[in-house]
Amino acid sequence: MSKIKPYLFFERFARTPAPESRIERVKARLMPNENASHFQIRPMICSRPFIAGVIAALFTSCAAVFVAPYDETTDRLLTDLSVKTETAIAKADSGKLSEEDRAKFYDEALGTVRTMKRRSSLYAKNEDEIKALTQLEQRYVDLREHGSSPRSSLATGLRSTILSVQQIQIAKKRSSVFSAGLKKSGSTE
Amino acid sequence: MPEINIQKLTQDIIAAATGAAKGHAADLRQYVEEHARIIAEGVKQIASDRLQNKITDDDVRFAFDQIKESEATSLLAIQVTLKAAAQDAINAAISIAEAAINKAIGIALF
Repeated sequence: MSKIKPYLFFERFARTPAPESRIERVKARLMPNENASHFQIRPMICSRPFIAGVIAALFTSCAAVFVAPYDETTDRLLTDLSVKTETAIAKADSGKLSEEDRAKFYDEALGTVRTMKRRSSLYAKNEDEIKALTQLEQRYVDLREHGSSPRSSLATGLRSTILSVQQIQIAKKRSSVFSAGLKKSGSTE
Repeated sequence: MPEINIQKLTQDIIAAATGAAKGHAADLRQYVEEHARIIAEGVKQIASDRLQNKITDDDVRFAFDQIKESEATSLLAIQVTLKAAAQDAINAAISIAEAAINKAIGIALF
């Protein structure tokens, strides 16, 4: 190259078409171990174990998840809240719930519901439960703002809302137990 | 290598899926009954308290509004139960299909 005059080198370089890419050049050559004969080994992608593997991966990766897993702490908090609420309602019905007790009851109930809501927001696919807890919070706020004692006649909406949130926990628990059973039976097979 | 009996597999999948959803259906029925009982008892209590002047007309309106509002949460509870039932039914069906594949190819892939 040192013997070629610089202007000739640049002229030859300019006339030579540049390869499109390095991959193109490599593809053009026949590799030393490339099988150019008529008989070819079928690639692994066509083998039975490979297809079975793909189906296996498909099944294991597509387990349906529509609801968040059951959370024991949320369920326990809800049970405690239900007990406190029913106790307050019983006291209010018998006229034994003082102003101070009532204020304390609402504060504690709202604190519990907000704790549950925060905990629920940590799980994916839990939007329905978060909405339900927001509505439960609203029931306590409404009762407190109404300024009356939580008598059973006035707390029917609240009781119904608590029952609905309990049903959400029951559905999630049943689903978690079922999923655990499936995994267990799958591992023993 | 054993063949997969499509008819038997289909029946097994249907049985597993419906079996998985049955428990949720029973829970849902129980919930709807209990919900109806709470509302019925509440309405009775509202009428009784108003007749005895324990609550005012404003309280009655408030109580009914609260019952109406609580129905939105009831809908959410039913939605979650149906989603959970669908989830279990689908996963039960997948589990049966997995077992059939394992048996057919002779290797425990799952």
